[in-house]
This record gives sequence, C-alpha cells and structure tokens, in this order.
Amino acid sequence: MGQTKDETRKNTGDMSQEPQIVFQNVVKYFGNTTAVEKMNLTVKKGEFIAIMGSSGCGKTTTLRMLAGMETPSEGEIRLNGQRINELKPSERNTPMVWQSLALFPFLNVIQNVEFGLKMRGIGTEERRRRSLEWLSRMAIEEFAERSIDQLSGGQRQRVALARALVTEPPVLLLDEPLSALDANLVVRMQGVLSRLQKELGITFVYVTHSQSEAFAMADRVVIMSKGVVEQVGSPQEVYRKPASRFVANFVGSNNILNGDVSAIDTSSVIIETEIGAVRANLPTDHEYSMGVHLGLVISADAMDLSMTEEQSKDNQFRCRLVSESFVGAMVTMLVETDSGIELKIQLFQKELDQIGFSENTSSSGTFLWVSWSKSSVYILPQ
Amino acid sequence: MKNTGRLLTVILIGYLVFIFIFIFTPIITSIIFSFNSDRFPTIPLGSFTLKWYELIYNDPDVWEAAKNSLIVSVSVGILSTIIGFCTAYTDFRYEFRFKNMYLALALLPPTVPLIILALAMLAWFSKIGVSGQLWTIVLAHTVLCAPFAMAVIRLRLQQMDADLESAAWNLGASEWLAMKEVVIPFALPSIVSAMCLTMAVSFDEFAVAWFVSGLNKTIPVMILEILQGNIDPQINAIGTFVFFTSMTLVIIAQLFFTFRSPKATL
Amino acid sequence: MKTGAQKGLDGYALTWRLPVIFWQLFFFVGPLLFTIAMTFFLVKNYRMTEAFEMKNWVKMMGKGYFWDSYFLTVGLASLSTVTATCLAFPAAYTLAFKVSDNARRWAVFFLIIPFFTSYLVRTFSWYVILAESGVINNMLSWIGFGPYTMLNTKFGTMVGYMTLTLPLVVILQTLSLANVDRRLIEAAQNLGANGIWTIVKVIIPSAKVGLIIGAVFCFILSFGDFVAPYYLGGSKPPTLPIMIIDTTKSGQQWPRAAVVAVVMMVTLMVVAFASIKFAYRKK
Repeated sequence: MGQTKDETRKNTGDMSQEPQIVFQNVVKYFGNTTAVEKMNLTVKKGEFIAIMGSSGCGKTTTLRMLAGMETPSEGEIRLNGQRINELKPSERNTPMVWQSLALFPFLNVIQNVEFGLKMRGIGTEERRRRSLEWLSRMAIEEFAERSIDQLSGGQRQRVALARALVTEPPVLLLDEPLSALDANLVVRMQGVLSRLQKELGITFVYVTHSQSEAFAMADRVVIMSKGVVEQVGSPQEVYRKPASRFVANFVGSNNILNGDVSAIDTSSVIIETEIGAVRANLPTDHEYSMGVHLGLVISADAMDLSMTEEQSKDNQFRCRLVSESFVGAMVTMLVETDSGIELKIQLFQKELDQIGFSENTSSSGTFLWVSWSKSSVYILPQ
Repeated sequence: MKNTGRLLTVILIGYLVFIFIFIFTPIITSIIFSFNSDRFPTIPLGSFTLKWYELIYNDPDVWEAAKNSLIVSVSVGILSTIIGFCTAYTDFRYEFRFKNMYLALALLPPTVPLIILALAMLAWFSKIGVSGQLWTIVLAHTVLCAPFAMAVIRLRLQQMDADLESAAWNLGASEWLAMKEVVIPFALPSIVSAMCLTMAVSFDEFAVAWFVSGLNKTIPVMILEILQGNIDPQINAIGTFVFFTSMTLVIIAQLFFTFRSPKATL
Repeated sequence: MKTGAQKGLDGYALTWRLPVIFWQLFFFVGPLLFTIAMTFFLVKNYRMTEAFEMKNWVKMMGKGYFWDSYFLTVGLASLSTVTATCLAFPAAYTLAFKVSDNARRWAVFFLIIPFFTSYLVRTFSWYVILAESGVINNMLSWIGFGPYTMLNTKFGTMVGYMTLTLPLVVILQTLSLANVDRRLIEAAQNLGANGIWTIVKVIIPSAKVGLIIGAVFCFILSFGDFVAPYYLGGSKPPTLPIMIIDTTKSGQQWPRAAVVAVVMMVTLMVVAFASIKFAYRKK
C-alpha cells in the first residue's frame, strides 16, 4: 500500500503521457446526499486549475478526496497514474493550504514549516536548512522563531505555503486560502501564488468561490454546481462561451436573454426576446429552425453606450439609467429597457467621457442607447 | 428610581459577599484554629502555637496515611486523565451509533451518591477477591474522576481547529504520529489541568476510600476516624495541610485551564 | 467535519474508545448491578451467601424505622434543595447581571475551590463554630444572647448541606443566568416590566433548565451525604446514608444495606427524570 516518494517520482517519469490527476466517474455520497456526482476531470502536470462554485457545490469535497480526507464512494482517482482511492492522507504527497490555514499554534514558524519533513524522518539539520530556504523564499525568514499568533494574516499565509511546499510535492492543494485576507492582500498573494506556480512548475489545484481569484490565476477553471461539473475550460472560454445557463449566471457580469427564433438568413439569426428582436451571428453548425427557444448571453463589457440613436448597429435599444457604480476606472451601469428589463453594462470611465455622458445627463432621466454587435451575442447550447 | 436601583445593587453585592463569607468561613477558621493553643478552640483565641503541627509531624500514622493518599491520588490522576483523554478524543473525533449511551456511561458516575458507590465497590471487590488493598481505592476513584478529566479535556479539544489533525496527516503524519505531534501538544494544558483536578478529587474523597481501603487509611479516612472520636484540634492542622494541597492542585489546574484559552472559564 | 479518512473501526479508533467502556463496565456498572443482586442474598452465620430470596426486602420494607429514615432523608434533601436554590439565586443573579465579566470569572474561580477541598474538614470547622460553647455562641454571649443549640439539630444539618452544595448551585445558576438573552430582558423592561416582574416572567423561565439542573444536583448531593446529618445533625434518627454505614460497618448486613442503596437509587432516578421532564416541558 505505501509507496515511497521515490517510486512515485519514477512513475511520473515513465508515464509522462498520463495526466497528473485523473478523476474517473468519481461519486461521493454523505449519507443520502450526493456531494459529488460522476466527476470526470484530468489535470496536466504543471497546470494551475481552479475549482469554482458556491458553497456546498462539492468543490471542497473534491479537494478533500484528492488529499485523502474523504474516500470516493465510486469511481477512481489517479495521481501520476497510480490509483490513490485507498491511500491514507499521510501516504500521498498532496499537501494542502487550508482555508483556516491550520497552522500548529503550539509550534513556532520554523517548526511549522519543518513538520512535513520531520514526519518523513528527515534529520534535524537538513530539515532546518530546507525550511529556512523556504522561509527566505517566502521572504519571512526573519520570523523563523516567532510564534504563530505574532504574525499578520499575510505572513501566516506564507508560513502555510512554505509548510506545504517544503516537501517539494508534485501537487499543491489550496482550499480558499485567500478568503480571510483583505482585498489588497488578496491581489498581492495572487501574484505570489502565480509566480510560485510558474517557478516550481508543479500542479496547483485551487478551490475558491471567487471568480476574480480563479480567473486571475488559473490556466483552466472547473465550474461546479450541486456536485456536478458544469464546465471545464480556460477563463476565456468560460467567460465568453458558458456551457450552460448556470455558468453564464455564475460568471456574473453577463446579460442573459431568452427568446424564440423569428428569422434565419445566411449569416445571422434573429431572436425575439423579452427586450425585442436581437440579431446574432449564425453558428456554422447550427440546427436552429423557426420558433426554437434559445438563451442568449451578452457580456456586460461587450456593450456600447451612446447618447443618441445611431445608424448601422446590429442591436440597439433605448434605455433609462437605473444606477451606476465605479470601481477604479471601470463603471458598471444598470439600465432599464423600454420593456422593463434590466441590462448590465461595463465601460471605462474614458469611454463615458468620450460620448459626453455626465452626472447631469444621467440624473435628468434622459434616454441612453445601448448597442452591441451581433458577433458578441453568444447562443447558449440547447 | 435610579437611586433605588443603585441601592438594590449594593444590597445584592452585600448579599453576595455574605454568601462568600459563608462558603469560606469554615476554610479560614480551620486554618486559624490550627495555630491556636486551646484544646477546644473558640473566641477569644488562645495563644499562637505550632504544637498541633508538631503532633501530626511526629505521628507515624499521619505519615503512613499521607503516603497512602499520595500514592492513591497520583495513580488516580494519571489513570483517570488517560481514560478521560481517550473518551474526550473519541467524542471530539468520531460519530457512531449509541454514542449517547457511550457518553452516558462515561459521564454518569459523579451523579451516583458516593455512599452507594462505596457500598457497591466494597461488595464487588470482595466478590472478585481483591478487597482491602490500597490499589482498590485507585480503581474506585478512577471511576469517579475520569468524567472530570474527560470534561476538562473535551473543553480544550473544542477549541482545536478541526483541520489541525487533518493538516498533520496531510503533511505525512500517520494517525498515531498526528496524535503525538498535534493532538496531545494542543491538549497538554488541559491534560495537566485534568491531572491536578482528579488528584484533588481523589485526595479529598473519603466515603469510598473508607469502605474499600481496609487497613490502608488515607488522610481523609483518618480525619473521618478522628472525627468519630473526640474533638481534636489535630484535625485543623491536618485539614490545613489538606486544604493547601488541594488548593494548590486546583489553582494549578485552573491556571493551565485558562492558559491560552481565556474563554474557557465561563 | 468529523468524518476522518477511515470509516469503520480500526485499531486506532478502538484504542481511544474502549478504555472507558471497559473501565466503567467493570468498576461502575458491575458493582452497581452486583449491589442489586446482593439485595437477594442471605447472611448466614455472619457470612453472605448467594441466593435469590426476598427476605431482605420484606424485612427492610416492613420496618417502621426504615420508612421514618426514608421520609426524613427525602424531607431533609428537599429542604436543602429549596434552601440552596433560594439562597443561591440572589447571589447568582448578582454575578450574572450586576458585576463585570472579569469579576464573574474570579467569583466562579473561587466557587470552584471549595468543591475540591476537604468537605470533612469544613464540617469539622462548623462543628467548632456552632457548638454550645463555640464561636457563634461566645460572640452572642457578649451581647447577652444565647447560648443556642445549633449542633445536633436540623439547622446544623442544613449548614452542612449548604457547605456541600451551595458553591455548586451558585455556579450552575450563574452559568444559566449569564446565558439568558439580554435582549429579552431589555425587551421586557421596555415594555414596562419592573425588576421583580422581569425576573419572574422572563429570566427564570429562560434559565429554567439550568436552575433545575442546579436543584437536582443539590438534591442528589444532600440525599447521599452522611457527613452533615451525622456530625452536625446528630444522626438521630439516622438518614438513609447513615443507615447504610451502620448496617454495613457494624452489622455485616451488606444485603440489607444494598436494599437501602437500591431504594436510594430508585428515588434519585425518579427525582432526576421527573425534574428533567419538567425542565424541558413545553409550556
């Protein structure tokens, strides 16, 4: 049962074709509830993969199964080509950065970092040397002898990372590690994590409910809902081409419209939606016919705004401003069409200035014109 | 209105002080009388003396009883803390069928009157043929004390991040190693605390000890037997010694208990 | 999440689970069951022989002095429970509502100390204090009162019981009162309820379970205590615990002592279950 680390390593070399992590039809029940349903997922060596979803979607259970804290009820999980379902947590080299960090409060910083090496029976001196190396890599070597409760949130984070990475694992698991930090620190730690992952070239499996964290760092994103994998893809794909209504909703800054096909020509399709007729590009492999019900996704940043009606727009609707909010140079506006449907628009402040939009015009209740090209309309798979 | 409220508060606090005086009067008088020369101590006090202490110091029976008490309470402290720790950890870590029954079995002994336990233990030990030995007191006291140890350690484990143990496994520690390297170090203050408390309980227990000890008297049994005879101020001297021993144990226990866990007392 | 890596029972899980089971079955449940069995044994020529006879039960139940003792003990324990509950409540109320958190912690700290210190020595102190020529009577005589007989009376017994139970009852009451939702109290006061009314209608019902648990512990402790009624109460007539001691120590009549013990157990169980049922009863 217990394979040593070296053997595991050798496997990696021999089976370079095999993805590093494979979930094959993995199911996990807790009593009568299904936490994870028929999960199939492969992760390549050196990939940064983020598993996303709201709480209770099964993302943490997935991670815990990888770490061995939970055993799959069905299916198989392979790490470097080796089935690991039955391995105890201590027999895998899949260290984890915990949401609570789970640093040992009765040990000081360096003893925390040394822990994994000590458990593997590595001698005192080497243990110390390698831990110090990691502490300096994380730029916290000066705190080596401090106790945990003397550290700030960001410093603890680094201790947790160093503790997990000191054994040079092939895979690092991260369970919402940044959720307790304040916004500034989150951005900084994202940078630290991305750089670290590239330098080390090891696989990161990152569980989060935060879209911005996932999209900022991950090569690929897994979106889960109620134990089911809804979509796996690059952040771009997930953002531009959501595989399901759930994903489109979850990704957030999307406008979702529904309607029936009312006309089809050689290059476009017209859908009669709740705000009126919307023109979209006709996909080459389409199977649409008149009257078919379709869901449309138009992302908020694909929308344009003007103060007057303009000619030659694929789609243009008259709206009234509901609210606006500024985050840095970005403006998110909520507008209401004549038909009473709210649309979300994201623009740069600069663009707003160019079209002559100002606080005064917005408050006077003047009409705005929202437009988007037909190529930016994404039709949800049926 | 406000004045009546303040008056009421003053009255209530005065009452509280009265209750504390009632509770601590016997402890304090016993200490004072242990230094008092009168055979039957009263007010006004006689002269200061150490003769009662000299008396017990020169009494081999007292030494014998003290030795017995020490052996018993240390053994009980260790045994009941081990059992209490096992139970507390089981309750912390595992869910299983009949867990309620398990916990009831573990926690019920202190609700049974000592005199009943004393009779039951006496009969049981003579039935299995081990009566009248010093270590049978240890067996009996451990039954009584393990629940206290369990409660103290369980409260400490309650404060442990549930991920801490998993984190140790995750870093390559087997369950046994994680126990040694994480759970026990974390619970250590409460383990010391539980040990002191159970020693204190055992050190003061007289009913069960009196029934099962046979000829091996512990200090409380000795006090009980002196009480049955005449008034003897020796009791005050012994009592003061007993008080300081128990109080030291209880205070150490509380210090460790509140160590790094200020919320634990209330 | 309590689910560990392994399901089912392995050596590790059993190592922690079994000790208390074995210990308590062998040294707690075993002795108690044996005590029940013993009530049917016989004593012949000063030797106990195993049997299954009702003789001990018939003998004990048929004696007037047994029932005198029984009702005396129940009465004393009940009186002790009422006294302790009433004496403790204002103190616990003060600790819960009128002092700082820090003061409350210290108070509980001090209340725990007597719980772990020799009850025998404290009883002996009271003996000296309450005696005919003791501290209190001497002090009273200076102002021309007394002497009063306090030892070997019910009053003496109560002082002993309070020494045993009051700290615990105050602690339990304080804990349950401190947990009463402050917003409830404020709401009651906003609605114009005065102090007493708030206590009776809001605080006591909210803290009911804790108050009753305190009372039950007081009853159990007083009911099973032999020191207070023996040394301060004069032991005439004897309470049930004293009867167990006399029967066991002098008479060698373990089976009859066992009958008394079983009757005590049954009484306590009835009291405890009834109280808990009452405590959790819906309005």
